[in-house]
Amino acid sequence: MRKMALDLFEIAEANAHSIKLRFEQVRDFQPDHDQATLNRFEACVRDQSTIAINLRPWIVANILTTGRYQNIYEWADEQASVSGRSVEEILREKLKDLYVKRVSFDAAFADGIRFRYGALYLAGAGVTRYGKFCLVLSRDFVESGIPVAYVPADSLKTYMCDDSTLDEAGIREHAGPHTHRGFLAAIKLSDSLSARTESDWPLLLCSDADYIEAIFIADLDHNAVECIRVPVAEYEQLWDLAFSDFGKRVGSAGRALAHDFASILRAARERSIPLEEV
Amino acid sequence: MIELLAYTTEDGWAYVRTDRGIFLVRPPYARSAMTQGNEYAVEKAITMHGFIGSKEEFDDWRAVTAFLNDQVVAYRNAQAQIIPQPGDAGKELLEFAPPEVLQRFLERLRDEWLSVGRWQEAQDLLLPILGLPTVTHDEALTRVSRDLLEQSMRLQRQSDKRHQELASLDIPDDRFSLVNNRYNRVELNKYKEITEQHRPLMVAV
Repeated sequence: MRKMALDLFEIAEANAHSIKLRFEQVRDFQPDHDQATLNRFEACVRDQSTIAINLRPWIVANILTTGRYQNIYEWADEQASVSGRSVEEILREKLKDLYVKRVSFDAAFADGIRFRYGALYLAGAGVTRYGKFCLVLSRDFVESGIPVAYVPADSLKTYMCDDSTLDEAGIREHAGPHTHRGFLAAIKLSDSLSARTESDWPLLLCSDADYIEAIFIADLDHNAVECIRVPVAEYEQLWDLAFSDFGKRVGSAGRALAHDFASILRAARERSIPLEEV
Repeated sequence: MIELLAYTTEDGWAYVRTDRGIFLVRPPYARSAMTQGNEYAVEKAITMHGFIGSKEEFDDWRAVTAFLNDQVVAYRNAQAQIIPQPGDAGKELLEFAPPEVLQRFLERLRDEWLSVGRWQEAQDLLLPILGLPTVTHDEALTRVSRDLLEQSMRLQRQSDKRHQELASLDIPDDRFSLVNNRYNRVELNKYKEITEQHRPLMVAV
């Protein structure tokens, strides 16, 4: 018999009380000074954090100009409707050896194929490894009632076993709701906070080194975006690209990138979305 | 040998494996912008970020970037999306350039182009810059841009004049006997033609 799909958001919600208890246990085990730090950190994350998604410029341009942000299933659906091939065939071709792992994870959850992924975020450039453009979602959007759950690390890496089965117990233990993301972050970072200053908190929470994964279901368009943040070096490289193009030494992909950057700047200006260098 | 591990067709990002490890490469494919990757990053790119898994192998970097450039062209053509012609991508971006970026463009233009006789590129950039509202509203930027345009045109005129003078000189065959003995007349005439047309002279070493 096929196993019933899990409701990730229900699991996260049901976990709220135990996450708070765990936070209190972790905190009470610390010296007084560190207890105060943990309380301040939890409050900071609760009051100031949102979700950020790091993306490549082409995807950011698409979200801002067409309101389209497809996950892999939506992309495969579209390809299937154009080509007449099956979604499975298209996904297998794209994911190759990783097909079973990806599909098994998403199939374990109700609406898993509609999941979108981001990171819990305070400030900074986000997880730049997969995209230098950090789309910071507005708190109004995140708190508008969309389903959101948080897990302490990359879900696919952490909760999928080698045989591509889900570590359900792990998910049930760790997933937390939006209201309790501060506790979740404080539990995860309790050992690191005492040695760091408050100015380090954004980077501790979300960087290439580590992050807390946000899983949510929602359509994304420009209305969801609070601002876009780009590392200074990347911003300067994009302008260098524009300069190089006057020297006519830029290949097709480089010119496509310059065009995407222009599309982002145009859409950001039209929609009053700040683009900030960080 | 370079192994392509994963790539995107939309914008030409890729993970490759070389004898020095796994790297993320992305347009405009400057080696300095390559970042070190690992197996996990490749897996994540495929399962989460829309990369296509691959096992193709290429002889060198030129072949890799040619493949990625072709992928982007094919994808964007199929989607009826624009890839600007050379020179147009820069022009498209100019209207969004803040003053500090334009200032940097002008400095680079002076240092990198005017000093080596790239007058045409300089003028292709300076003319649209002078029409930008950001520049027309900024006295200092307008002055610097105009000065550089005048300088570029003056230097180009001087250079043209020198070329014309050289081209019109009736130099007897025995004037440069050493050169004439060393190179044949056909090669020298080819060089003369190239310099008269201001074409770049390719030097093979």
